[in-house]
Order: sequence, then structure tokens, then C-alpha cells
Amino acid sequence: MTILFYILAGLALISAIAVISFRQPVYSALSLVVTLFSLAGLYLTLHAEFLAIIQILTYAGAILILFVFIIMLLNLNDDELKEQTPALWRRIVLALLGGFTFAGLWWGVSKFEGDVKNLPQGFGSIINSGKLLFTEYVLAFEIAGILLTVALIGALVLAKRRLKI
Amino acid sequence: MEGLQHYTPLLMIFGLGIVFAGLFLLLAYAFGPKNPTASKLDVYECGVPSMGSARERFSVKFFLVAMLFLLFDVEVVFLFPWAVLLKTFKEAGMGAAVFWPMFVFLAMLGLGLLYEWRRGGLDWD
Amino acid sequence: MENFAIHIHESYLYGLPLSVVNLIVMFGAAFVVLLGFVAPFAGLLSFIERRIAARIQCRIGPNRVGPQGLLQFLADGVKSLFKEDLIPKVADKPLFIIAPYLVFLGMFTSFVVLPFSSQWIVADLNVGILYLFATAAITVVGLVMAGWGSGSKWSMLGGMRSAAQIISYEIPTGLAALTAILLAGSLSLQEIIAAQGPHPWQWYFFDNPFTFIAFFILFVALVAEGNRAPFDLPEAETELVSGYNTEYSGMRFLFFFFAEWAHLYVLGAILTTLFLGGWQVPESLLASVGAESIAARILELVFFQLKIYVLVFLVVQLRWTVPRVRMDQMMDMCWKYLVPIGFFCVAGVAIWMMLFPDGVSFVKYLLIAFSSAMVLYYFYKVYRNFKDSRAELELNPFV
Repeated sequence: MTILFYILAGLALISAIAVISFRQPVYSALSLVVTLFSLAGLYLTLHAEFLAIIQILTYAGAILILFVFIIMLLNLNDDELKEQTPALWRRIVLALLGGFTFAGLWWGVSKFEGDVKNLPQGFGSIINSGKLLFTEYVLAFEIAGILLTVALIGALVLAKRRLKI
Repeated sequence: MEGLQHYTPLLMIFGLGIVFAGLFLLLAYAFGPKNPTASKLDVYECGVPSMGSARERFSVKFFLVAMLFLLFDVEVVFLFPWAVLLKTFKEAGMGAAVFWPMFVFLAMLGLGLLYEWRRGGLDWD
Repeated sequence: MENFAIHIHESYLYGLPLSVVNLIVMFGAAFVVLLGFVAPFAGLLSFIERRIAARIQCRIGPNRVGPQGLLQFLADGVKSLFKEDLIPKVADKPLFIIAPYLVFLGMFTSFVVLPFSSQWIVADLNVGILYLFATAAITVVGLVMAGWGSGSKWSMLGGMRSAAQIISYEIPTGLAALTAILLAGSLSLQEIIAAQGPHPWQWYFFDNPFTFIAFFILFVALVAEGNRAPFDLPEAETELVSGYNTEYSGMRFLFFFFAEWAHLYVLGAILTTLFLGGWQVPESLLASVGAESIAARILELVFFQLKIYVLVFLVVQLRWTVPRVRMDQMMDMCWKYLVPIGFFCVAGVAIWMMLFPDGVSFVKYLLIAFSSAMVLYYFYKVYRNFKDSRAELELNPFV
């Protein structure tokens, strides 16, 4: 079990680094697939099978294809992909932001008080996730619906702006 | 670990698939002739020497389709737990508790789809 | 399968720990599925398709290799082993090489969750049907990579088109599948089949008018997802040469076609599982061979296969009957017809369940009568067309 975690976590880290190191954006997108698959594997080891399959379905399926389409839409040529050293202030700001995110994660994980060893039967199955979604988090669920509608309209407005509709 | 042992065959079939495909490619490599010429290695372009690169900029239409797909995919993903639950909740006499939130959700997205349709977002041309 | 592993452990391999035996058994099962099921299915389907296509076009079709040309697919497979494996100079080499693998894997791994009989399933996942949709996602990535990696204009256009097409049609697929999931209350393919029955009035196909419509949505959407005619725009020969596989040769080329035929089988399996009662066999028949015997399992397998092959035949006939649609027509059909009707069906089934939890037998019989009339009309039309074309050749399948 622990070995599985290290393999998957290692794979996720390596491919995540590959995402930001490849010069060619298509390779980055494909490394992202590997990251997402290893994350799905990690979810599985955490007994969250519904989440794992959804991860593959939406991220590896939908979001990746969106990325690939965007890459082809922009189609940067080799000159534009040349190595550029970002300005110093940018690097500092980004390092600070990354540091803050990491600290936040650290804090969140250290605050976690749950019994991970003795999970109830069927934890993370679609039935239990669904029950929570439709009872305790029903408001969040409806807000997600509004968000999706807004995104639907926003995508249309952005993509069709030149057509003046 | 209970419930997860079902996933072991998955891992195996992935492995076997790769081995199987690799074996055949190896066989093909071993038996196949290898005498490439310049015109064999050129991409097909109706018989004339190829011109320019194939990696041109693509139409924004594809982007819009991918965006639409992403949004509706997320929505369908929300529908799956609902579909699984409705029967059990109905039998427990709590059908309405699951039915109405989804009704509102579907109505919102139905309106979104209608807007998209009216504004021509679903037209390919 | 666990019982089987325990049995093996107790009888033959008691020296090893149980978990190792479990792994060995699973490995064996995966191997059997791989070689015993997938390869012959895809191969035989290619034979069936070519034979039907030939008959529809007043030709004879493959009939030389083996009895009735049945072994033609093996000959083709061996032939492609001896072909030169070309990689174009402008191709993106790693992508070009990995792409057929991904397409192959995406199709191949979907066989793991197909329920061949009440006990013959490699992995009965709790999220079975979602897993089938997820494997389609891997295939799309492979197709886009093949299109982009080849560096040919035809491949590029084909890859982009097929990606747009497959992702679009995944929405109606999901919506139509939801109607069956609503009725069964589970995502596991075995549980969905178990919730139906062996007789047509127990199938979800005839459960209510909404599932009846959903079946046809799923049928059309799956045909489109498999890039099959009349939706074979990504490989439209007349405009795109061969689409995303233009630059491929030899074994890699074969992988794309292997995936296409495997998808044909998976299409039939999904439809059979969700709407046509899967492997369900009438109890009286099951009792006559012994409900627990191997013969009963084989009987279930035969029923499952028969339903699949009827659907496969329909898809193949569709390919040689209907002209190819245009790109804009195809997208319109998905987003303006199938998606709204799909939503309507999901809402309809939910309301139907709230109103009539036990189903309405009157509606079921009405739907069965309606579809029987449809089938009769279909046979009448085929018979008439045979008469009109005076094609004696097609009537004899063993020329």
C-alpha cells in the first residue's frame, strides 16, 4: 500500500515537473495526462473510487482536449517558444505565492483530525458522495449549477466576440 | 483494501496491453523491410512534394466545442450520483429531497443551453 | 473469481500465500480475456463487416483464406507484420509512436468491465459504466496525438475533427446511459443487468417511452463516437484521404483498425447491457442445464453475443446504406437534437419513476408491439429491395 503511494506520488511529481519543463506545449499537455492518471491512482488508494474515475473522465478527457485545442489555436512558433528569463520582481512574486500555497497546504494537513485507518464501509463510493452532495451540500451544488451556466454564457461571449452578436 | 482488489485486473490489463502491442511492433520491426527513401518519408499530399507545415492555426470553433463539452461533461458528472441515488431515496420515501435540487439544476443549465442556441453558439458555421 | 482463486490455492498451489495466488489468477484471467476474447472478436468482426459490405454491394467478399474466408483477418494481420514501418520526416517522432498505443489501450482496456455472463467478468467495478466512458477519453487523446504527430495536413484535419466529434457525442452518450442508471440505481454493469430480466417486457428498452427514445440516442451517439459511417468524417476518404491514420503503415496502422472493430463490439455490449437485458436467460432454460453449471454460463454468453451481433449487423448495414453527413450537420445533430432530447429523457424517466415506481405494463406492451411492427417493416423493406434488385447472390450466404 505504502509502496503504491510512493510509486504514484513519484510519478505525479516527475510528470508535473515535466509539464513545466517541456518547451513544446503539446508535450506539456501530455505530461499532464500522466500527472492526472497518477492522481487518480492516489484517489483510488484513498478509497475514493468515484472521484478517481471522475478525475480521468473530466480532466484527462475534457480539460486535456481543451488544452490541446487551445495550443493548436494559438500555435506558437519556435521563436515565441524561446527561453525567456522573467523579470526579477516576477520571480520574487511567484516564489512568494508558491511559498504561501505550500504553507497553506501544510497548515491544512496538520489541522486534519480524522481516523484514516478505520473508514466506514463504502466510504468514497458514489452512493455516499452523492448522499452528502444532495443533503448537506445541496446549496453548494446549486451554486455550482449557477457557475456552470455563467461559464456557458461567458465562453460564448468570448469566442463569438468578433462576430458582434 | 476491500473493494479495491477489483482494480488489480485493470492494472494488469494495462500492462498486458502494452506488452502485447509492444510484442507485435517488435515482430513487425524484425520481419518488415527497412529501406526508406526520401519520397517514402515525405508526408502524403496528393502525390506532389509537400508544402509548408501542417501545424497551422486552427479555427476557434473547435475551442468553443471543447468548452461546451467541458461544461456539459461536468454537469453530466453531477447527474451520475443523482441517478444512482434517486431509486434508493424514492424507496425510502425521500424521493423529493433528491428530485427537486436536480430539477432546479437542470432548469438552470437548460436555460443556458437555450441561450447558447439562440445566440448561435451551437452553429458550426 | 475470488472463489476460483481460493479453490486453486487449496488444490494446487497451497505452498504460496493466498495473495500471490490471487494475483496469478487475475493475471491469467486478464490474459485469457486478452487473447481469447479481444483479438478474435476484433478479427471476426472485420470479417463479418467485409462480408456484409460485399453482399450489400453485390460482391462476394473475402472467401479464400480458411473456410468461407473466415481466417482472412489472420492473413491480414500476418501480412501487416511484413510491411515497412514508416515514420515521416516531418513527424513528431515520440507522439507518432505513442499515439497508436493509446488508441489501442483505450479500446482494449474497456473489455475488462464487459459482463459476458453472470460470473464471467474480469472486474465488476462499482463505477463500471463510467469506466467505459473514461476509456473513450484515452482514445481521443491518442487520435489527437496521431493527427498532430504525423505532420500531414490530412492527419491534422482528421485528428481535430475526430476529437471534436467524439467529445461532442460523449454528452448524449452519458445522458442516454443515465436513463438506465436511474432505473437500476447503480453504475455497476452486473447490477444493471441483474435489475432487468430475460424477457423483453423486463428490459429497460421497453420500460417507458423515455428509455425507448434514449436507446436510439445511445445507438446514434455510440456509432458517432466510433467514427463510423455515416459519421466517419475524420477518415472521410473522399475529402481527407484517410484522416488521422494517413501516414501510418504496417502494424501501427492495424492498431487503429483493431480499435475501430473493438469499438464496434463494445458498442453492442454497452447497448445490450443497458437496455436489452445483457446475458439474462429465461429461468426455465437455465434450469434445464443446471443453474450453476458451466453450460448455463455458456448459454448466458451465447445470449449476450447474439444480442451484440444483431446490433453489430445493424451498424454495418447502416454504414453501407446511409450517405455520409456533413460536419455542420453532424454537430447540429449532436447539440441541437441529441443533447436536448437526452435531457428531456433523463427528466422524463425521473418523473416517470416518481409517478409509477412499479412501471406501467400497458405502456410496455404498447412499446413492444410498436417495435415489433418496426422490425416487421424492416424485414419487409429488405425483402422488397432484394426482389427489386433481382440479386440472387445476396440471398445465399455461402457463395
